[in-house]
Amino acid sequence: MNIHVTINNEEKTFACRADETLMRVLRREGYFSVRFGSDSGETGAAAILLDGELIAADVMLAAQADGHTIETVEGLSNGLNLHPIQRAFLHYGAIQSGYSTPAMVLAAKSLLAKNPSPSEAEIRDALSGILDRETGYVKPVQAIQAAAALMRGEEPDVPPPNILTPVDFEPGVADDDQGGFDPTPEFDGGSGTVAKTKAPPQPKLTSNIPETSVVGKSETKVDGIKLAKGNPAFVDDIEMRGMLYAKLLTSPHAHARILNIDDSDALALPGVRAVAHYKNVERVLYASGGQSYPNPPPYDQVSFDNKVRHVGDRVAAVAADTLEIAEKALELIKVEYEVLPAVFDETEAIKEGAPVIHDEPDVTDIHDAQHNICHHIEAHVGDVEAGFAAADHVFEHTYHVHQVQQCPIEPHIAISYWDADERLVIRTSTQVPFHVRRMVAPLLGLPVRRIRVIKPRIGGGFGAKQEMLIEDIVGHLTIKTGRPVRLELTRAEEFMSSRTRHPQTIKFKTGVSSDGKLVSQQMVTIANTGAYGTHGLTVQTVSGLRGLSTYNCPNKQFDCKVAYTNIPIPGAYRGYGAPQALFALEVHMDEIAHTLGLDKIEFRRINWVNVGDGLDIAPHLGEGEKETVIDIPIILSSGLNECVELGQQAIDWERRLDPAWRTVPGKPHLRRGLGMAVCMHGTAIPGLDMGGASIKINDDGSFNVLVGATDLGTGSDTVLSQMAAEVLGVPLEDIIIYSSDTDMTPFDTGAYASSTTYISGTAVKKAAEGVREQIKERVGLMLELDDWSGVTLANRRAWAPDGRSVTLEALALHSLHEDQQRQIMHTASYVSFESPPPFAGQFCEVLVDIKTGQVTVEKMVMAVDAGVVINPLTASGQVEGGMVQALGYAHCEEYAYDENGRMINSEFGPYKIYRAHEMPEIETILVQTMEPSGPFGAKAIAEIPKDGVAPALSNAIFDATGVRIREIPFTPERVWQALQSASE
Amino acid sequence: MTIQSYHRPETIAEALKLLHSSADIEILAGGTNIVTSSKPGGVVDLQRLPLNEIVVDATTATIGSMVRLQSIVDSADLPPFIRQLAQNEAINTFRNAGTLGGLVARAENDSELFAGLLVFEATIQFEDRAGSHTIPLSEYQPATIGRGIITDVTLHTDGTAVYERVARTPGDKPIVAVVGRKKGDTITLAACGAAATPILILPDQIDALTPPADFRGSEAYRRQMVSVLSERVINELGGE
Repeated sequence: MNIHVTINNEEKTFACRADETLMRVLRREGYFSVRFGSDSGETGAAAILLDGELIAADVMLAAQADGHTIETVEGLSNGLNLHPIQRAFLHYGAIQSGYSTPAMVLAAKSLLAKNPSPSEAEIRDALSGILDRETGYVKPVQAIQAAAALMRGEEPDVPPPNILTPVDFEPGVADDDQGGFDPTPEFDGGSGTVAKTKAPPQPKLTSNIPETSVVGKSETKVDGIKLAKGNPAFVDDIEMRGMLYAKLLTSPHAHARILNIDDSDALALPGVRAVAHYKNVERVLYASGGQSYPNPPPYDQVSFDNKVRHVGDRVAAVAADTLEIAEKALELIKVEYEVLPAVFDETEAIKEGAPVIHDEPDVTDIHDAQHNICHHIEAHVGDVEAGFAAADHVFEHTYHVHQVQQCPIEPHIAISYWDADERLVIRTSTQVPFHVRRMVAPLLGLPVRRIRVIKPRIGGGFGAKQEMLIEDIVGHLTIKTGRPVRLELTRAEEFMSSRTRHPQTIKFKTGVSSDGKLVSQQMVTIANTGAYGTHGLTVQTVSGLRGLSTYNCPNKQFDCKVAYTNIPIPGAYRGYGAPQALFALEVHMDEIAHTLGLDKIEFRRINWVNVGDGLDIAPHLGEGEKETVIDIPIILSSGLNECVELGQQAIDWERRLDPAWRTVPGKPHLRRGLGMAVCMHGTAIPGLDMGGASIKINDDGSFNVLVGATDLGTGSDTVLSQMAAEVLGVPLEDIIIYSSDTDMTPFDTGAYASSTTYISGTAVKKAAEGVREQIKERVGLMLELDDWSGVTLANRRAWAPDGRSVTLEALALHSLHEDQQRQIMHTASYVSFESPPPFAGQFCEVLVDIKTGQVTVEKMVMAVDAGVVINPLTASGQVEGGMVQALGYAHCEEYAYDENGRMINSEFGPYKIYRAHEMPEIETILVQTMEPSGPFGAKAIAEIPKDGVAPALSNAIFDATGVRIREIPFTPERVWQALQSASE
Repeated sequence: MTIQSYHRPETIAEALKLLHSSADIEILAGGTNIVTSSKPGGVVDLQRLPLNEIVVDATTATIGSMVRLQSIVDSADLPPFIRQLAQNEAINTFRNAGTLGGLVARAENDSELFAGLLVFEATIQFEDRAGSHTIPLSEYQPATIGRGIITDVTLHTDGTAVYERVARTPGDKPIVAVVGRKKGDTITLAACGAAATPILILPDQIDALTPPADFRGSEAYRRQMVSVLSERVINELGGE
């Protein structure tokens, strides 16, 4: 059938089938700003305006739109002339990955057309149809407020990010009036020598941070215009002649042997071009986690196995001319299963007699396959048993953390094809293009040199895409058919067949002396790695490291069994073991303080690590089994005291002591409370994470920056460009950055472990410094200087000490065309043996209904020390978005299963993610310190926002009700049960 | 089975004829559910039928079945309580597409607007080949309509009403919600999450409820919540 629509003021006729959604038809017709997030309308990524109203085009038949008027963002702007709403989104930092930005812009347009002065509640309601996993909705709301003002002809009134002047920890500046605190004591290898009094350390306004002109500024994102406009920038936004559509056949059983697969009926279906499964794909063992060579063992996966180990596990893949034919072909594949008993709980899985999940004979390096123990990790400092014996008090509590998903709004998608040189190109939504190239090569039987991996814009990843997940499948199918092949996971597949966060059962046992000092601390974990190992080892070593690093203690022990089970596979998820560990640790610390009658913050303060302290467990918990950290890392910067103090002020911490505040007049069932948690994270994996950058000058004095670092919406392209611009003395617009393409850009381990600003940033800085040296030398030639060492770069010019200058354009032309021609360019890379911890104080305010168990989160405050902030706008956006993800983890997100291990809530709605109209108040404070090892003083910020919300919420619920809940999420019935048990 | 045919009739008679042309043809209201759930062989889109009116008199309001939920929110003539429930019912994209007729036809057990209509004594009017019929909303079952078309819903607009709910987050669908209306001395209660559809409840019969359990709430928890929230609603309405 044909539909006739007026779209972006043009009359158009589109051919479509009766069952096609408007989203599919619009994308086919080239309106790529209408994006796939699900087929249920819940993400809003496919939202358009129909007769001026925002609707989800993935739940509207194209036929319904016949005769109507449609608007997409393609119609909003012309060239670089953006619509005021688009400009506001750009300038107020409302764009992260930009995947759903077109939908948000349209939501704003529809709202402002009807209501030029909307209230915040009205703005939030207008955004309620669009799920955002990135911004926490703070900046989109501010952007719409600003756009409304602009469109009314007023000046927008939006507060800038709350950012404090950098502080430094200079040796010998201890202020005795503050209680004799020495901020840089000699590290004595043991418990704190520092916390003799309650006085916080006194940071000084730093004197050694140079003035910067681009770094430290809230520059708009370098990729912002294309994202605001909805330009075709993502994996799926290309058209390839002859492209086939792949679909996955996944297991309906949690544990089964495949006795036979018969694909003959599927292959007989016209339009089906290939079916891949264990009978026709070579069995090559691998581990799918996107990690440095050599990938941590065990290699317990193959592209297609004759056994399935969770519902959603791969069985076969089809490539066909259309999606519909591929879907039909799946139904025609006959699979004969022998269903096996399954086990889902990590504690049950390692018991004698549990079903053995990895019984295949060719897998090695499983710690104890017979008992489903993938790894057993042990690390210690001192002697915990002796410590417990010597302690005045010993506490032991057990915690459980559950399974959640990263939920990038763009699901996994990859397109592969043979290029003109007979090389396989894989265009994929990945955080680790270089790892993917190396890891996929043996599976496909191709040398690395015949594979090129391209990462275009990515619609969020959060760790789910730190994985070689579907690239082998499209590769196999392109090899089988010779044709381009596209595979995009559905939302249900994203839940069941990609990656999740590890559930853990964590027991903390802590010995405390009578003066409140920790003397012994033990963390015993059973972690659930699901059907395969992937990140199972490294997430757990990080979990142990994070669980046993925040507080000084002479005796520490980490003991962790990593269990195989039959749940969908946990992997990397922003935070990577730390959110689990810090939930347990920070609730445990709260419990100890309460029992001992100590102030909860003071008890933490007298134990937490300070500048000069060593992270003594770190050498024993390197990345996996490889001991990459040799020396004990020493903390060189910490703003933790300031974070906690500012957080206390922002949440008005003393209110909790006011009985009148703790209750609600007329609502006797409501109780208010406040909770807090201390957070400490890492910055990159020491000795392992490496980034490369290459910079060259162009004719006009602009620079190309090529980085392997992977901007997945975080703004890393912007931050890296700012660093290059700073060194080269040019405005940000003179930097043209490209990331990442294994053929074009230098190697980078990828976007994970909070490493990009620190590692890739230092690589960019070094590359820029190399270019700067060549520029100075060229100026020496041009100005006939005997000594060009004093040349400086600023304002697009190179300045000789005598005041003469040349423009970078003149210099580039001179160098490229005129005299002693040379391409000014430099490549550098960086690896660090430091991993300077960012710190934070997380505070939450809750209202608990003690008759229903409903917890309402009213306010969240996070004060973060991430070193010198390169870009306050993008950095605060990271904190806001991360905190809201963490809120989902703590409060409402969960996997629900039936008794057979089938997930029963694999769509948004039943799987609950916070929306714009139901958010608590959020406040972010950036406490800047000068980190000596970081580029321009920077540390990481991406992951620490994930660490503190769950424990702070548990502690707030305890403050409100007196009931301690050691398991997340805090859903109504769980809280109600805890309240019931406590009252019995 | 995927949708093979799409129809957009001009009259109710034409729509009924199409509905009877095949057992595999279903009504398409806003479309937000048909696309994701069961896909019939053909759909009859009611968008062109004259079912978009809201008519209000002194004590009742009649809302056409194709009125969008957002139009209920925006209609100053309707009671603020009903408008509020319509606002809570769905995110804005779904309110812009979803219709009252679709909401009533599906009778999802967590629909607070449906519960609100129950306490406001709503009736459904539907047409089938035998003619036009009116039934109380409280007697509606999805099978009741058969091959008919809901044309409008009429509710009373007098009295005062409140609701109480328990949900995972402020904007989430309720696990349990109780809506109450007081008219004169009479309080009427309806509950979500207490049965397969929203239902009218009596305070002394809550113990006999067998709510459908899911991961968000067990049967016992839901029953207890119906009790707790009913008590609150009655208190707020000044009952005993």
